[in-house]
Amino acid sequence: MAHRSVIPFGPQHPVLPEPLHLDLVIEDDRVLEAIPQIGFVHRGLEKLTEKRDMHQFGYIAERICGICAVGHSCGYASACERMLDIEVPGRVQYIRTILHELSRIHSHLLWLGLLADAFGFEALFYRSWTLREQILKIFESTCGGRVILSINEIGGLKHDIEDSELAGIVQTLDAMRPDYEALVHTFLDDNSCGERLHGVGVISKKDALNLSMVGPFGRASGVDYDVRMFGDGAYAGLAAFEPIVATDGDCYARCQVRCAEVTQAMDIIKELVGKIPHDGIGGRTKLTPADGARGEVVIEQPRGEAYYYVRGNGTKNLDRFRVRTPTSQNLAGLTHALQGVLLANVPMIILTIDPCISCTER
Amino acid sequence: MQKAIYTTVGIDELLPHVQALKGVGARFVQMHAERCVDDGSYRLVYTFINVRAAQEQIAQDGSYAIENLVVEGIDQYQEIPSISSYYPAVFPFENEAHDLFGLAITDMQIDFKGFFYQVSTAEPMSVITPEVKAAREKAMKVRAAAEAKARKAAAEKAAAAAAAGEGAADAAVAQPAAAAGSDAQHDDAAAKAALKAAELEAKLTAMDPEKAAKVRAALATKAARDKQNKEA
Repeated sequence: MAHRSVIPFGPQHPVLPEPLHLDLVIEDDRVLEAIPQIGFVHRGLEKLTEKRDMHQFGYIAERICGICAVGHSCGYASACERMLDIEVPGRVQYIRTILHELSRIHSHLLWLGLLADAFGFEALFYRSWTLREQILKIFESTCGGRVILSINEIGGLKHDIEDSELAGIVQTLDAMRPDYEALVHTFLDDNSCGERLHGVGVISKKDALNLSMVGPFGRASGVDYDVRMFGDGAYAGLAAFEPIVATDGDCYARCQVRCAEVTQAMDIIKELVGKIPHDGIGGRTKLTPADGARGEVVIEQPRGEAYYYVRGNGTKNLDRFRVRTPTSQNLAGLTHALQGVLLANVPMIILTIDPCISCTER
Repeated sequence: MQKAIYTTVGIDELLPHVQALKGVGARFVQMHAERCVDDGSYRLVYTFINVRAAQEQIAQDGSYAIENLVVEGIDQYQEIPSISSYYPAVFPFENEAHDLFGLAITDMQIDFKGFFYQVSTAEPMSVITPEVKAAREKAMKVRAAAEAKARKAAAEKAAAAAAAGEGAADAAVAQPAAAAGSDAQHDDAAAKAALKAAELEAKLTAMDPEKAAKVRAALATKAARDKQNKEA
């Protein structure tokens, strides 16, 4: 007779880089149910708007997460600009988008490295992170920081990135392509990778839609949704944009989608650098939101759709700041993906949603 | 271009609205709670995007909408139905609203019973600190002073216009005596009243905004009483 038990998984666990807890109800070695829990490192950043004014809070918004830092600062600044009815110059939008796409590349390369590490392919892990290092060097040379760039502010940018530097970014990305293609070839065509990824943690399109899944996690199940397709900001300047979608809904499909998104991001950056306008970089503005004024935006972070909301109260502080990160939205999908899988595959499935607990624990 | 639509709904109307959005294939984006500093009530905002409708709209005029359902005026212990039967992904946000704001959300599909977040202070987002209250009151006073200044400027402008009208009346002294006398008296009274109002406004502007608001309220009451007496 099958034996049923509950395994507490995390918050401190070798496969988890961040504190996520799961109660895994298992029967023999098969998971029947998984109940997630977060909240171990909740920082109360949304409450901090009471003590920091809108400009100061930009630095805090950027520090919600190290990997998605650029996206968080862009999302926060855009939401505030919408609330204050400020239109930023086109160059600001383009530079923000270029940096955001670079952060997508580094986030996906980081994830690919972690995936390789999870199935014990250390050489692949090193190669992924070696490539990622080149993106971090671009950040360092253009903005002075490897993770926290602090280039955005409400109303514009703190400093410009020269056209010669932008051309250098394109050159670096072009030079990366052969190595990246070889890396993708190993991830997608090597048997040792494929055997760990094919058919594991499958979620159907119907379930993915029902669970409101976002990002590569949703797109790997056939959900044809990427916020960039709405053409906000600099994305409107692209000749064409199609979300990258796979249909198998398993770990392999999630890897496939992320691999293709890196190439797509490189193409977007190249196109935007070629079209970037020269209409200034805006600048710091006076903060006078009307009482009850609201601003909200959705952007496509590397892990999926993120939502930013600000509400003014007539003072220099915000009445409410809200950020909904992709991981919080994908928790329901995670619990669903874990139902019925082998215990040995749990770490792999958790990893393929690319959980970012520091984003979730804002 | 992204637009935001806010639709205020009652607690009883929330589930039918959510059901309708689910029916048209809208994606659930997020839900969050807010504390209203002025009256201490709570507000819930549910956000959705109908991707298909958005794409059609973009093809037409390049814009698309984020749809928000707003439930206003919620008391802390008032029961709010969970929407997790329609959108299961809402469970972290409903548990968050419970743990951080103390809102009573019923029938959640995954209910952590107050143990979703490990917080050192119960319902931390429901606390309105004295600093926030003070900043809010100061902002309201500044706004009241700015409005008073604007009113004063308008009254002065009206007084100047009335004075100019008086000058015109002097110039027209050759008009028939009865008519001219009546008009001049009327203009004179209007100019005096406008000047008096401007002086009063100047005094009120110089006052503490809170005191000025009280004086204004007293004057309004007196004016209403005088009007009543006159009618009687």
